[in-house]
Amino acid sequence: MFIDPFIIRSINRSELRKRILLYLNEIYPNATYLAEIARVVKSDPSNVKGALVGLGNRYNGYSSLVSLGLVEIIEDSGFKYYRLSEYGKKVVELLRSYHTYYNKFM
Amino acid sequence: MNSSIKKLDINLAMIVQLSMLHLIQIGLKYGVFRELTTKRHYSDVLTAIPVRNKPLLKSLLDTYSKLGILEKGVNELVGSDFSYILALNSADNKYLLPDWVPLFEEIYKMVDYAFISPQHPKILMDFDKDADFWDMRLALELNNVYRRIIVSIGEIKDEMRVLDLGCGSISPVEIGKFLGPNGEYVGVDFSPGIISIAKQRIQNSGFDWVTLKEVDIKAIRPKTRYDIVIISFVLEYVDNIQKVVKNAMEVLEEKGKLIIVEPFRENYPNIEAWEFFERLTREFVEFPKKSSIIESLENDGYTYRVQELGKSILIIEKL
Repeated sequence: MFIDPFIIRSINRSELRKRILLYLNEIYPNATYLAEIARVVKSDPSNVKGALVGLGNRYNGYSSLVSLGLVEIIEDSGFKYYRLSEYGKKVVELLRSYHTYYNKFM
Repeated sequence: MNSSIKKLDINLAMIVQLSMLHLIQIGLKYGVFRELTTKRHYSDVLTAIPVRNKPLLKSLLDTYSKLGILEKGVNELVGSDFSYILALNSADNKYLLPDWVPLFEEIYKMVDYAFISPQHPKILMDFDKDADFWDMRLALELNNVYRRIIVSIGEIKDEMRVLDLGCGSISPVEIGKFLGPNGEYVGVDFSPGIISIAKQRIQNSGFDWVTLKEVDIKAIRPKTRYDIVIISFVLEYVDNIQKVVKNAMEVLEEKGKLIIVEPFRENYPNIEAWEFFERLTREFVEFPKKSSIIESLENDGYTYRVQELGKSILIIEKL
């Protein structure tokens, strides 16, 4: 499974997307709903929705976590839940490994 | 272990083959072959092909010449008749690993960016600036295969002392885990970025018997003696192989082993195709010859026993 380093670099620069991924990794393999993610990452639900699935010009199709394949949506009884994908899990592992490196060199 | 050795050799040979195809694709894409239907002056060809990075274009033309795709006279070039057969041996296909292919595709694509500018941000071949990309490369299954071979050949276990020259970011954990608190693994690499990623992993794993040093392997002067010295995919970045081999032999204990893993150029026809892409890394020189290593040992007067495993591994035992 090839992981584009530009995606990791881009997520590393985006504090909200990074916090969402780290939280979903913490509860993996469980899924959770939007309001809960927003509460934990201490952000507005509309911003979190933007980071997850895109919203207008912010977090367009190229950069939302769902369109990048890092987070998957599970629909159940009309509710939407979000869960880290296998691919997203690998990205989180790398983000953690590169934490010091990115802080030092980028 | 034999199947791992075969796996390593077959995949390295396939990298050469795939590089060959991509090299030809570049010639088609940039109109190189069309420009060489008649004999042309070298500088006219360089001017006629519309790419900005002329040194890279020159490197491409030189590679074509080495591979027999074009003929080079004194300042003149002309295309040759050329055919190439990509060999897929059905009995060997089970050894093919898929994960290096997308990563090499990224490298092949980088040539397009490099033709625009050698400093293009989409070129990810710098050891320090692009240590994350190198880390992904070093994490490929192909690299795990040779790490397992090294551990098996060296019979690496606790209480041993291992020196890994050009250790990268993965081996300190993946080889270091076979040692223990009574052993020692010392990894040396000249890239601060790669060392930084490796240190983070070592810290996470809690391997306090692993030490990492940011040093150029040509400059090492270790005082400790080691049971095993590892050199894997490093000599292609070294312009003085003899010095590195001499340093490695000097620090080996008697009966210690120097394990070298490289795609030795005598064993891989058309390796120049792969080398063209690797030259996107500034430090790349060329893949080493097995004979240069043996020659270095002879020149330095060591008593040794050498064993060759497959096409890419040399084991040198210091007697």
